[in-house]
Amino acid sequence: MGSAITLATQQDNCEKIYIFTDSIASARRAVDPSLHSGQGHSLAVCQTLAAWLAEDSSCTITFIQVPSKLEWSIHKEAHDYAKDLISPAGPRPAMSLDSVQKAVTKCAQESWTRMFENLSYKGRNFLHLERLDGDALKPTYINGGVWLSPVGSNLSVAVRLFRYSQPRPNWIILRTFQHS
Amino acid sequence: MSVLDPLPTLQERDWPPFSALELTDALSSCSSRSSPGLDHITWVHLKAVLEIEKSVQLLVTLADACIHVGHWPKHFKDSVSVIIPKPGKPTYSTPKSFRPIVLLNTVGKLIEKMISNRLQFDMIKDDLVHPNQVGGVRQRSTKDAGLFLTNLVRTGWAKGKKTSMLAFDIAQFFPSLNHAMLLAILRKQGFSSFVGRFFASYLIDRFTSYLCGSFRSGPRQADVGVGQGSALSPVLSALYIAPVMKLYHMQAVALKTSLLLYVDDGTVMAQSKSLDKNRETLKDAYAVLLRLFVAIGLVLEHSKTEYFIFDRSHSDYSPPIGLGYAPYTGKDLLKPNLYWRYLGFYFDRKLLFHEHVRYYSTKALSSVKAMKMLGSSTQGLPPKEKRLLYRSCVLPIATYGYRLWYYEGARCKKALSLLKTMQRKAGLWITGAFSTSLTGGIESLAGLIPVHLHLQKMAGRANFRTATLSDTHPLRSILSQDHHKGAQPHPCAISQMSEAFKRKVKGTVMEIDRHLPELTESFEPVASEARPGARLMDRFPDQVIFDDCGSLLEQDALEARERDLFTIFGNVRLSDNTVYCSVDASLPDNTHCNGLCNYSCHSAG
Repeated sequence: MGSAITLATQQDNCEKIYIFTDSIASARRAVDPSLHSGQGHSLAVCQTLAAWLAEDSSCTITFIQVPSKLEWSIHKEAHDYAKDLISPAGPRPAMSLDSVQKAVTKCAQESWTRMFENLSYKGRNFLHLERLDGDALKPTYINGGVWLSPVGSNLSVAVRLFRYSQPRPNWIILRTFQHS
Repeated sequence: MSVLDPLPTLQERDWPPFSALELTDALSSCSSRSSPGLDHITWVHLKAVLEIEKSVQLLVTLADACIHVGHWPKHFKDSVSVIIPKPGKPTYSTPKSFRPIVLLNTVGKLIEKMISNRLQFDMIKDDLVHPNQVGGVRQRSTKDAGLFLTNLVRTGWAKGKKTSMLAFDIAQFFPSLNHAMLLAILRKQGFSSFVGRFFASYLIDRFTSYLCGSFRSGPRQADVGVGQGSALSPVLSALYIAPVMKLYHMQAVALKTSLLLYVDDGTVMAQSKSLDKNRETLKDAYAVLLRLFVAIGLVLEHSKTEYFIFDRSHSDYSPPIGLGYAPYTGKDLLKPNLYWRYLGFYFDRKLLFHEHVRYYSTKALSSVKAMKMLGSSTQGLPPKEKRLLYRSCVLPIATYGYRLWYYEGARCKKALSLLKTMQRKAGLWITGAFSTSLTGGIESLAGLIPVHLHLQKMAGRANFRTATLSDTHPLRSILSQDHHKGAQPHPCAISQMSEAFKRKVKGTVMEIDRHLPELTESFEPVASEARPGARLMDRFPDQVIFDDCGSLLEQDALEARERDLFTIFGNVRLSDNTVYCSVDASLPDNTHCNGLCNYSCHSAG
């Protein structure tokens, strides 16, 4: 977006700029110079635009949101270009703050999934459930987790599911039998 | 002749007019649920009124006028002080067993917040406060202060040095700030004359009425120190104390001590091979500090001064210190503590932090137990809300200060097992599972990531946060050469270490330094484009337009949007001097590819 704006401001006699984008949030971030991942781009945009807008008070820039579902004419063009072009990362790829932090999170999540495959972690009697497509359920902390998110707002259903997923170990049941 | 004379007078800064964006920023950071002041206008009312563009303009004009005329209206100075008894006190006959809460009028508070945002920015950008001052300054937190301290101690150990600390407390800090001194300091720090005039009016003639139960007193004058309860008081107090820090570092160079200050809690640190030498250094440093504090009109509370030693050798030699001020004169010496509580961290002599973790995990555990009254497996809160409560109210308490004891290669099995027990209890409460269920199963069902992975995740993410810190942040001064930026390297900095020595030092700061090069992005936390009042959206709010349609899920809405787009596009294509672009980005699934942005640009007309 930064280079598009720069190129546009360099055109002769340009008074109005219209930018069609599918993410209005990133457009807002592009003109926000405060601290965030990708701040360098925003600062460049702010510098260019400040100089351009100060020249003439009739100059305006408009960001227009195009829902990507529409696959709308000129936005589709840009979308296809972006998708088709593959840029292999070199030996030292550029890493933004968001991407390194995402990598850390992913690493922790994967360690948890690996732990979960171990029976001594989840328990021998843990109820094995599968998704409709045949994958086993994996634990996650996003949005309350896999088990909690569908039943979490209904207490009795949730408790029944949890007790069923994680029954009492066998020896307790055996002891109860012996006593009775 | 003033104590401030050795400090340079900074050039006067400009003060651009306030913008609507600054007002909305300040407003959105306010909690809607805090109590209103005497005029009964709550934040909810204010937020509703400020939906209207005209009222925003009115308030912005009012704020500008206040600053330029140098007057703070009387309406904003009147407050009500609610006296709340502190729970669990044995007797309520002393004033200390009550906590007064000052409620100011919300409109005034909003304007104060806008001013405070600006002062905060200028404070960091122009280095108005010393780097080692960590309270009331943006980006500088207690955790940074803790990291700074522990790293110095650990580096000292690797060099064979022992560390002694003296923690001091300023008596009645906020009420004893002197107005004339504050104004002189503001002038010295380059605030324009009308800002000075504004503060002169802001600080005086404040009235408060006391409210205790059903009793309400008449208005009483309360203009001591900086106005309590406002957003400006932490900023003003930080600015007030800044010259002490700067003068101390000028006058006590020979002592080679480090001074760290968090609002009114200060620490002086001396390092050497012998504890007796440390003691002499600290005594001298304390005398210098006392002289400086007296010069700007503040008093140290000697009876609250604490003394602590960091020593990992087996000897328990701990010489007491005689400060030379009552009550520590003659034979009454100040003995080092067993544990030292500073900024909420429990430090011990060998930096093991057993006591710290024990304290916080017990605290978290007792809140989990208390939460049991909110719901059980048959009634009360549903599991989703129980989980939310645990994640937001218990886990942050349990993991407070984890960066001090959790780092790569740390021995923290015991600490982790305490936290694990706590999380298990919470998991049982959330799921209502049988008490003999395995911890792993419960955690998975409740969607709680195991504690050690949670810490690993937070620590990994926090490492990279260091890259976003300002150029003179205290943590920067102890990192390696590439990360110093504007900070003065500390003698214990990683940049001053040899490769072999680096392997001897352990700790979080070393971990941060190892990981930082993975990030290739650079940041400018105080870029001049980001200064409040001079940002793009402050200057040209009407010339940058967003045509937002929200998230459209329904087919009808999508079709309507498509028709709109064709109309807009038709108009755009026909108008003169117009450029239109369309942009999109893609992030390939393949991890070995870069994310891409693409645009196509057309001229119309």
